[in-house]
Amino acid sequence: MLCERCNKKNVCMLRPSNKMKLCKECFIESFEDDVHITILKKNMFNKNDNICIGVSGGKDSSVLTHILVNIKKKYNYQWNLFLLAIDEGIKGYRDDSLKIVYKIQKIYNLPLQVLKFKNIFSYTMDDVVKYIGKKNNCTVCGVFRRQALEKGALLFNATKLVTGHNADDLAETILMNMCRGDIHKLSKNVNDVDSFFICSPYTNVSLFNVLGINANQIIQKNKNNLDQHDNITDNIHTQSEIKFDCENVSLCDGHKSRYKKGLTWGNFENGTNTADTCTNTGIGTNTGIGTNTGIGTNTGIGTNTGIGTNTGIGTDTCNVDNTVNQKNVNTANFVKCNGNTNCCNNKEDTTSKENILFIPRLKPLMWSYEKEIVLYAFYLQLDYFSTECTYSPNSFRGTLRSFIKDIENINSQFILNIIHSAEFFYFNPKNKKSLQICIKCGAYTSNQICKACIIVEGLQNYTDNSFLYANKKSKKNKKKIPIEYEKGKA
Amino acid sequence: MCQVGEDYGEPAPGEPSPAPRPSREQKCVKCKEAQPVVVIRAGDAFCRDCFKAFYVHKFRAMLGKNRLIFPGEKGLSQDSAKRLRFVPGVIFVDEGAAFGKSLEERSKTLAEVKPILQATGLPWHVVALEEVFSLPPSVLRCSAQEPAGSEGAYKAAVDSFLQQQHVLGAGGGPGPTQGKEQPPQPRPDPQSLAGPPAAAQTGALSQLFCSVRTLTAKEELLQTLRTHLILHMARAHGYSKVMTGDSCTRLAIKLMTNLALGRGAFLAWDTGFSDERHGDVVVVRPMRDHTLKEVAFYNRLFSVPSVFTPAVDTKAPEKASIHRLMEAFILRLQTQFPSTVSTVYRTSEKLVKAPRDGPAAGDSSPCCLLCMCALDVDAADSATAFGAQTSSRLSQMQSSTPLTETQTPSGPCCSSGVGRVLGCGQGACRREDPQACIEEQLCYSCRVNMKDLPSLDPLPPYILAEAQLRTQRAWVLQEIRDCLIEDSDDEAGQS
Repeated sequence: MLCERCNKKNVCMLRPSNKMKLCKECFIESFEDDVHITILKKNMFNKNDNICIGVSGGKDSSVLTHILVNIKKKYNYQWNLFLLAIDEGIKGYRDDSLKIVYKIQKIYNLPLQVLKFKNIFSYTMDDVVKYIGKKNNCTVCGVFRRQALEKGALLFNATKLVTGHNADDLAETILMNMCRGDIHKLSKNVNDVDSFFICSPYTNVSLFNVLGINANQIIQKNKNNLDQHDNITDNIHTQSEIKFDCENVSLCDGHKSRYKKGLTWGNFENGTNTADTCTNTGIGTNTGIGTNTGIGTNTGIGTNTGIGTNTGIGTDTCNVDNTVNQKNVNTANFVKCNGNTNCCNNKEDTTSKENILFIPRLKPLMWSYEKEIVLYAFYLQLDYFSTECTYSPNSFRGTLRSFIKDIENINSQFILNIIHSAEFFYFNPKNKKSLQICIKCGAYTSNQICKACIIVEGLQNYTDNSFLYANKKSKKNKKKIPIEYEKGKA
Repeated sequence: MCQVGEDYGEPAPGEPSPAPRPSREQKCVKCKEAQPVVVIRAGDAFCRDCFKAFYVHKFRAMLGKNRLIFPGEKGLSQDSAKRLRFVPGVIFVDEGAAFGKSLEERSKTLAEVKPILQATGLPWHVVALEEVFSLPPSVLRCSAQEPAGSEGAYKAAVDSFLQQQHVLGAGGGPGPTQGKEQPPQPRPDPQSLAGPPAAAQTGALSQLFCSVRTLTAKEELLQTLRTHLILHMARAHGYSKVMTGDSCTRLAIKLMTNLALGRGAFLAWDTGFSDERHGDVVVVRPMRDHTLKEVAFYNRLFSVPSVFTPAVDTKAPEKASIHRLMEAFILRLQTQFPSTVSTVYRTSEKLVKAPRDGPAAGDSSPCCLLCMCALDVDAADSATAFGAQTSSRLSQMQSSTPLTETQTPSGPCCSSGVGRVLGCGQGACRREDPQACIEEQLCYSCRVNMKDLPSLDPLPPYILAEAQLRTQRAWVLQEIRDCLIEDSDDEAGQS
């Protein structure tokens, strides 16, 4: 029997989505075309986008990387692609899949970055499970991972963040949110990206500037193979490879080498390096004299601060170009702390970055069935890691996943039906939430303090599980752990 | 102790009234005096009378809160608070032909049902599903709502096919401020005693249902036809409301099932309290607050008679249709997470009916042929435009065009449902492919269902006739468009 599409080669498979009988090449082509249509229909990418691909080593992200590279080549787009992987610290699962990630990076020759939970939140998932057991850990992992992805994307100066979620994942999420009554995540009219506005007084600050890193320079360095900054140490090797080991330590301590081994988030000493008047630190609580700080609670004398709760004497802010030493990678320019916005005077800052506090998360595979992804990977013999997370069998989502599989066995059309249904949900628009910036760490949140910070706080003061529900209204009196985040207090 | 019933219409299985688990000393939580006989939620034990009061109160509260069925106007008489001041009728639809039951079986069922209907003391009607073949196409038209007060006393027809419910407090006569009075007469409808329906119609119906390939589509088709029939009966006998006995559990399952069928846009209508998409007849669901458990216990404790009739999916395996699967899933989830049903129910309450663009009363915005909801296939960036909706027949007809960056795969005019609602007024397709033209007039989920019908001919004639009429009207509209002065800006068939 001949393939229905090209009428030349022999049929070798039946495509699950439209039941067409196709040969291998036609399937590959039509699958890639479908993804391309998705990208076009949703206006996902613009010219010159910096696209950060979240890879995990699994089949979705492997296929996603392959397709994006192919599409870029085929249609000659001017995108810049980067790979970002997150290490949650799950033994036997994540460390194995990371090997695949390194392989992918070598094959496609794309810059890669691996961030660890341990460095960002100071807990690995194994620790978390030890504390809170196996029931609600998926929540924590999900929240942490998403934040880690966003922080990583900022590092790359990315404009878009893409993940490999497929149609089955989407359907699962919709059903799950329906069963949980989570209308905020369900309805499109409430979650309209365009209508988000940042209601923080620091709107004009580029977050990545505040982080004190300008990824542009890193990329630039790579391209020219220059070693302008000896504070990016020997971990940066060849032209094609950027790799941060992401182990400890501080950013920018004076004029010493800025990255000892990598970068860290949130763990650093207070009042570091008073050797110089310009200690640049990252996110978190900073104190000290003459400290230039990033986001978070800052106190001190003569502090120039960024976003967050700031107190101190003589705090004078704005437009500090802290490039004290030529050797320092460009550091942050900060904003006045009492509500007047100021510009970033960062010379390397490209002007278009001024308001990109929000990196959209896109899913090019969102209308592709999981079965077809597997078929695609099979035919192209793509390498991927396919073991389940060790903690997943007990999860709510696991129940739903097996249910979705059952549905698909009846008719795979139902998956798209669910997605179609969700496009038309309409809830009361009065419940709209607006996006704010967490005053502890600077991430996006719809409350004052982001879920990740709440979780970290909860884990530190762990007495019971209530911090997982801290944001939800509960009728019964759950014991709440007081988290102090009032402005003005350190 | 508590059975979440999976069979239609069956009361709680025979077992003695369950004693409360915790201790024998526990009293009813409400009156704190009598021995409790039933546990509703975890820890709420009620005695018999309190349970009845609780149940009735919920029912009234639901009606009163939504102010759709209201008694006579101001100036209620003295004990009017105790009575529901409307006069309902009862309708029973005999669907035996749809799943191949013989005439004897059907008359046996009818013989069981009739005494129950008569015992309610309300006007009752029995109608066979075959009558859909004699329905007029006007059933599918959304007539304008009649201004309140022009009718006589408000009446409601109760659909008690699934769960025969004791109608609470049959209201007294209409209020003094009403217009003409129409006292109820418990007389049998002459139509139902006219003998078994014509064999030709029975044959046509069973042929229709046999031709449907999947159980899911069968159930959906059954529901559609039943709705149309009840609508017609309601209109014919002057009823302005139709009440259905959908409980909370059933509605939660229905919500999730409709989600999986692609009816996300219409969930508010399908599962909300009132459903006024048909215009003059409003479908009301007063029992949507009661869990199935409460209903089952009510039936049991107060000896409400009910009849079990097998439905189209009785004894079907769990994976046979999405309805079965979803039902099993939700009920299983409910055992693990007891708040599932109520959560889904609360979510359905939050669903608001999306505002329609353009003027109300649906004259200008196109409605689906079968379910009479506004069409939802226009969005250019939804998953449906992706090509999932093109039927396999049509996709094979088209040659695979090479994709450019700006173009989506093109096809014959009818198949690209993006933005072309009634646009198949092109003469060519009108004659050559009536099937596609009918599909154009359906919403997404009805289209998906129709895909499981190999041919649309066995459908009852009123559907085909109405489809034809609409196509013609759209075509004519297209022709004379230049001469029309438009004062509204949504026009069907816009390209």
